[in-house]
Amino acid sequence: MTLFAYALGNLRRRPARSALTVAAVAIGVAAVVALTAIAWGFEASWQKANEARGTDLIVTRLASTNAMPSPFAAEQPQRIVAAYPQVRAVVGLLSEMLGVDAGGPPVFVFGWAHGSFLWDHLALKEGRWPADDAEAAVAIGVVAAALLKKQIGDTLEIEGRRLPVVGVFESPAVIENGAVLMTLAQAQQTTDKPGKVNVLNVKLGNGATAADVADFKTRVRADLPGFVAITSGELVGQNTVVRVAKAMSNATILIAGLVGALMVFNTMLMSVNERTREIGLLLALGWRRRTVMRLVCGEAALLTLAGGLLGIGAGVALAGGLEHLELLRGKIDAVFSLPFCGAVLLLATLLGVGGGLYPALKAARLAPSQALRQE
Amino acid sequence: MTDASLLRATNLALHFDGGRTRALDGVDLAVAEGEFVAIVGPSGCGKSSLLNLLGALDTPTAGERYFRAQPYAAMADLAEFRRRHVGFVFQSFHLIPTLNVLDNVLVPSVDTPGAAAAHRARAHTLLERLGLAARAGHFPATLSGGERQRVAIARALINDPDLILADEPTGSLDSANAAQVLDLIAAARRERGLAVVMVTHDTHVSARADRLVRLRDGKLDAAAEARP
Repeated sequence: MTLFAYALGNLRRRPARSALTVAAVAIGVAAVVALTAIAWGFEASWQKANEARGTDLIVTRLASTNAMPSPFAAEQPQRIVAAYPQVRAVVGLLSEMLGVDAGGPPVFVFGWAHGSFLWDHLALKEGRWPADDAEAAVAIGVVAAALLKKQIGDTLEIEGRRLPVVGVFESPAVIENGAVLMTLAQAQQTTDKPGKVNVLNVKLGNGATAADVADFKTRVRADLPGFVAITSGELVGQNTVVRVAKAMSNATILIAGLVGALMVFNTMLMSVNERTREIGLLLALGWRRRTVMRLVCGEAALLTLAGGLLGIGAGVALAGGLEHLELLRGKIDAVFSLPFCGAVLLLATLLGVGGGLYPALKAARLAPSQALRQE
Repeated sequence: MTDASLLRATNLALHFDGGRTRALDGVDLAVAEGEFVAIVGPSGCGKSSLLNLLGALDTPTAGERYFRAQPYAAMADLAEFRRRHVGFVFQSFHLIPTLNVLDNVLVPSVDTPGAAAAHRARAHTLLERLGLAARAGHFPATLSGGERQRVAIARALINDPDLILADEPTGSLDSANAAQVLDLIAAARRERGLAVVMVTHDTHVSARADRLVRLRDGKLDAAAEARP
């Protein structure tokens, strides 16, 4: 006989109660996994997009906490930054989330300087790129094409302008696959922000060192009051949406952990109360008190382990479902990491064991003769 | 009382409610190695309380208990004492419903040193001797009362104890099964030289004991202590 088999048998004794506890733990874990995957995915999607574009540093307004910093007049800062010795290229980017066609889902609309390095990482799947700054046309990402049900030759209505779709592209970043792309000049015209950009994307020269990056940042602070040079990770990290999403994810971890531990506590306490005579028998037959504790805590651990495994599966499915919702499609690429799932499983199991600790102590402290007399 | 006693209790008392209820009062008892002692008396006279005290399941209000001259009070781990030296048989069997027969027999061996395979082999041997080999994989709910008590006897013997403490082991059985259970306990006693202290109401059972101890109102009825 093994403690594991005995613990498993005890859980099977009350299948409905065990299943409900497992389900409660699974729901908590699924919420944690899904929310965290979405929060991290949101952050990672933006970072991946910046990295894919080959952007080394971003120059933007100081302390901007929006997903896209508010627009500023690009001409002067771009000219100043372009003159720095470390800089190979500096290009403006304008971005906004806009509704496409009447009642259509909102999508990211990007305006990139024509012919700049920002376009280099994209793979054209169909059609062509807008020919020059003067052409009022768009290329759309593969996810946006599916979402908007558009193909080459169709037109999109954005901010009252009808723009033909001339190309369909694919990007390594999901956020770009779900976007509509036009030249910076056309984007400024469409959104009525002439000469403005949200950020300046800076590409440093080959072999730029950490000292070069630090020097660049110092120069920006000195030459451009109110501006800051940061990495894409720093920009995304200070993003309000990302921070709120992460805070919600952390709050969910806390709440789900407490609820899960309380469920396990309740289940194990009921189980111990029902099995008082049996536990008394084990003690009478010479079981050590710590063996009784191991049994009860083992049952709690099995419940949370099962709930944790189910919850991780459900969380992955839930996040997968969420990222395919019309509102979120092409904007978030849920991030799952094996270490995170392992940590969630470990945390759930530890909380479960914690929840089972008092019932286990209660069981281990029973007086055998009194417990045996219990009906 | 001699130092050669397997078990010795002196002036044993068990009081409840601040002394208003006296389950046992000043009981002296010695059990020799291999001896079969039957404890008899009317219901509520303290038989089971005495058995619980002898088995270290309860703590006496007063008095001393010794196992091979070692005081229980000096034992660091009474659970280990029960595990190594005592086999319990209860009237209501106390089998664990979620464990099959083999696992029920193995319950006392969980904290016993030794390989699990050796414990299992011993459990199989015991079940074979008790006529339960074919029932090893069955669960208690599918067994007859006699079979359940035989499983309980196998469980009591799994750690090769020196003493069996049996609380009305035939109380829930018909006469045929009761006789079989007594035969099995007698056989185990012969083979292993273990002592038996048995609480019983049954005169057929007490007739097979080496010595009869009668309790009345929590006290030993010295006049009645005799060999049947």
